[in-house]
Amino acid sequence: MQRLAYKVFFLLLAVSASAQEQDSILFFNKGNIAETVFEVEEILVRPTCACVGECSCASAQEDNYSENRFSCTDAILAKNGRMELMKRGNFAFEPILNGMSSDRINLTIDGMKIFGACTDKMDPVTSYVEPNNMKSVSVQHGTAGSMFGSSLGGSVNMETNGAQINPNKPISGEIGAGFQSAALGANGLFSLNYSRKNWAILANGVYRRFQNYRAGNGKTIQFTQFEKWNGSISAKYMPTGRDVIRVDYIMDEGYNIGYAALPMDVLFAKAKIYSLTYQHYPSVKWFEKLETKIYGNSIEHAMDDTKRTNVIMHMDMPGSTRTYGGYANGNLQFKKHKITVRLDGYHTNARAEMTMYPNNEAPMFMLTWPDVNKLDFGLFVQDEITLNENRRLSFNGRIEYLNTSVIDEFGVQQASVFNQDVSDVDHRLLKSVNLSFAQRFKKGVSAWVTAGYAERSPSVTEQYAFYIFNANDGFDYVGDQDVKNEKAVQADLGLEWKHKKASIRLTGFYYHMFDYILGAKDSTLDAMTIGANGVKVSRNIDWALMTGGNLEMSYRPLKWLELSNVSSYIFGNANNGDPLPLVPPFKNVTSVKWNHKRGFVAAECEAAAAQNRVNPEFGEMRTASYAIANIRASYFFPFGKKRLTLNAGIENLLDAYYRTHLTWGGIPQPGINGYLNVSFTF
Amino acid sequence: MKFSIKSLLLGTALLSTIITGCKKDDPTPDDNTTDLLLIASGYTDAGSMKVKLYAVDSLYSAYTQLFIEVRDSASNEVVENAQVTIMPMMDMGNMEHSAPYENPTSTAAIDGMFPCNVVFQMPGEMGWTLDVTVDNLTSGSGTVTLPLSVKNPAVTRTRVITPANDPNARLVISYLQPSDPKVGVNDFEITLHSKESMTSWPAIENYTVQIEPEMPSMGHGSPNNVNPTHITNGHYEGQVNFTMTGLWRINLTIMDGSTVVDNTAYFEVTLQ
Repeated sequence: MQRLAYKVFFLLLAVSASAQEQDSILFFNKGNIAETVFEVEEILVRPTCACVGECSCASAQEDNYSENRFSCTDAILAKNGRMELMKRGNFAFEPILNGMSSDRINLTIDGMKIFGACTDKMDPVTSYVEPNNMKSVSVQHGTAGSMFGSSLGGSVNMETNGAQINPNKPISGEIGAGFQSAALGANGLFSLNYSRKNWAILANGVYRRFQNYRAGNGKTIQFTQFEKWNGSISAKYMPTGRDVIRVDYIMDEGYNIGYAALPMDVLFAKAKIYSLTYQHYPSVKWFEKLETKIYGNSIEHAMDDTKRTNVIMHMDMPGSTRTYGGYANGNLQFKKHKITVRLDGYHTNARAEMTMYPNNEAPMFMLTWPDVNKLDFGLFVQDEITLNENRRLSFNGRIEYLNTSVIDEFGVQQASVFNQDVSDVDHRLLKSVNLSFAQRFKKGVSAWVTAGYAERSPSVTEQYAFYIFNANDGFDYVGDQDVKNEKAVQADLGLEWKHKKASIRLTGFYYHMFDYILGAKDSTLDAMTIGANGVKVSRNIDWALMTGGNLEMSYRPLKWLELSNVSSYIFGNANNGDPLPLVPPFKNVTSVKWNHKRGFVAAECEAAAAQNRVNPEFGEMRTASYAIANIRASYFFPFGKKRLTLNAGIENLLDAYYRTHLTWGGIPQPGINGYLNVSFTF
Repeated sequence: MKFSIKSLLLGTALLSTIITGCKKDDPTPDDNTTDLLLIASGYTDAGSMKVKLYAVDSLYSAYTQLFIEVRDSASNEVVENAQVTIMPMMDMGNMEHSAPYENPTSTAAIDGMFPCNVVFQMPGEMGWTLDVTVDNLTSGSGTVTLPLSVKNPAVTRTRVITPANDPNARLVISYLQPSDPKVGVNDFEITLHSKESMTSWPAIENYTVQIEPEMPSMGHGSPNNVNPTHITNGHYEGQVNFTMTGLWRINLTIMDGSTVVDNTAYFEVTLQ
């Protein structure tokens, strides 16, 4: 009865509806509490970032990038000026945020902790979620992102679409197919949303199959093929206007994935990700929203050397992680204070094996990750204070308790050969604090500063790796349970000028890291891998620094013409003056875009300077500068409210032979690549 | 994998228990021979004693632990106190030689038996004998000669080396530990004996030994091994580390001061 009193407006069209609507996100808006009328609105908004200071929310559904739904998730992330991709093949690129890779950043899907099961980081979390199932990606830098976990570099949270309740449009969805020439790649995708009055269900599917790609000189790069599919189901139920229950299941399976930069490929990578979410919007004014989630996920990963020639000895390298967790997140509002309190916890297990099969001898077996359990609890509190309409202040703090143990006796015995006793539980307390201040000046100028202190615990590899081979520097890596937490004092600065026709945004960051964890050569140890250069053991170096900046400019001289330029630079140094390994060079992307009400044509020039600051100890080689040109176009044909969209383009138009600095093994990037994507939304 | 290794070990242990249990001969409720295999028995030429020789397994060409049980042949009572000495001999037809051995260290029996050790440095279905002399401190002394059959083990556990620095000498290197090698840190033990004459094979107590484990099919070793040092009676103890399962070869370098006596010997172990 009471529910009938609520006025419920559903204004949003389905997830994959028309292009203008695709950048919508679900948005709940409280009505006038005094009248005890509660309004739930699903309204059209551009993805906005709720943070003081800098954070960005790229949307896979944004109309500028409707072709995005055919891209892989990592490619969308790379459009953020402060993100780069570490490449080892043509699939599952490892996101690098502010020059830092997965051990130093949080990668979450809907706030869920998921850990890749590959000891060689071949399966970053980004490879298990597909853009056509992604509502937005929010990127927060440094301690500003500690809501999702303790990290130094920041947080990347990928939010999935979820089913959309819209009784006015019971059935909506999209079906599409794409083709690209460099790797003879085919993409197929569909999504279907079915909605009734107070519940909805969404099914999503993606299939991709790529051959080896062709580099700029026409040469085919062996072992860059892959095949994958991803399916997801999401159901949402609103028993009352104040309660939302949501169930999500994602299944992702990749097969026969080539890793040209590594001595082995991937036989399969499988993920199962499931969650149950409950959201409550209390009727009291100060309590805005309560969200609780319980989740679980399992990742199975197996490497494959059977397609390689010159394999001295066949080996199996399966790995798996299993994670269970949950969180409760409350958003409170007291006058000028917007307070977020979050309690989270997870339990994860990581285990990886290696078995080699010599001729006529017993198999050689070891645990590269010795069955490691991690139990973690965190408390995050944030207060965003609106001092006045031009000034905002935000404070957040996180405290996290982490308990790590090796549960397989075999692993404990193994580690004893390094005189390490890993039989005891490893306890760690991680603290981070962040203070952000944003000020809006006149004439569209605003500035922000955020400063913080963060700690992160070492990864399973950094603590427990047992002869994990790194193909880039050719060393076997061995962990050290007693390696200290890495700490960072960090500051981010930003200055922005926004005008009707133009905008300029300049950001800079400086992360000073203490007890920086790095592999240090131990010449007393003998490599295990045949042909390896030696062994590196996790060590804390006194300090290291990472600093960089980003300049984004856009100019719209005419209504239909948009010019933009994004430049970024990162500099990383260890305390002994050596460059930190795998830091991207100066990069610039310039684009010109002609907008039309039915689409656009864009020309891009992506260029990177040479990277000569390399650390040869980590197998780094200098990378030459490069420039590539891309053109892209999009056009749609309306059929009533349905629409047929064509996306086409040519990447690397001049067929340049180039490689990016973060690509392992010196493998070149794809040469000229034409693509055509067709999708029908209904 | 962990489980399969464990169950394999368990299975092997169980199987060996059953086998030795089945082979058990002449069980008497008060003895401790349950897990042991009767190798030979006989009566002493004087002193009216029955001597039974036990071992944990059939005899192989290796450092071998033996257990001697002495009973009064009239009363069948176990003799708890006696001076037991042994002398292994190999009769090769044209020549005879002895072997390195260790007499029981005490005149008091341990659990009714006198443990002693012999290094059978070569196999022999026939030819090996063990003289057991018992002075039971009351009724006198007698000797029995027990015939032995010594098999060639599947994996070499003792090596007779001609030292690099002395072509006339012989060095006997025997592998003792780890008998049940596992991934991780293992106690390592070998014995060194030299040939003084055909019948005298004394322990060497002043050599230094270096070990270097390697996986022959991979070419890598393992870290933090501890070179064996002399403990007593020609026994050298250290630590050997294995980083994974599979076939390992433990290479030995044996030095007399700064002179290399031998660097060719090795022992192989397979970790399942």
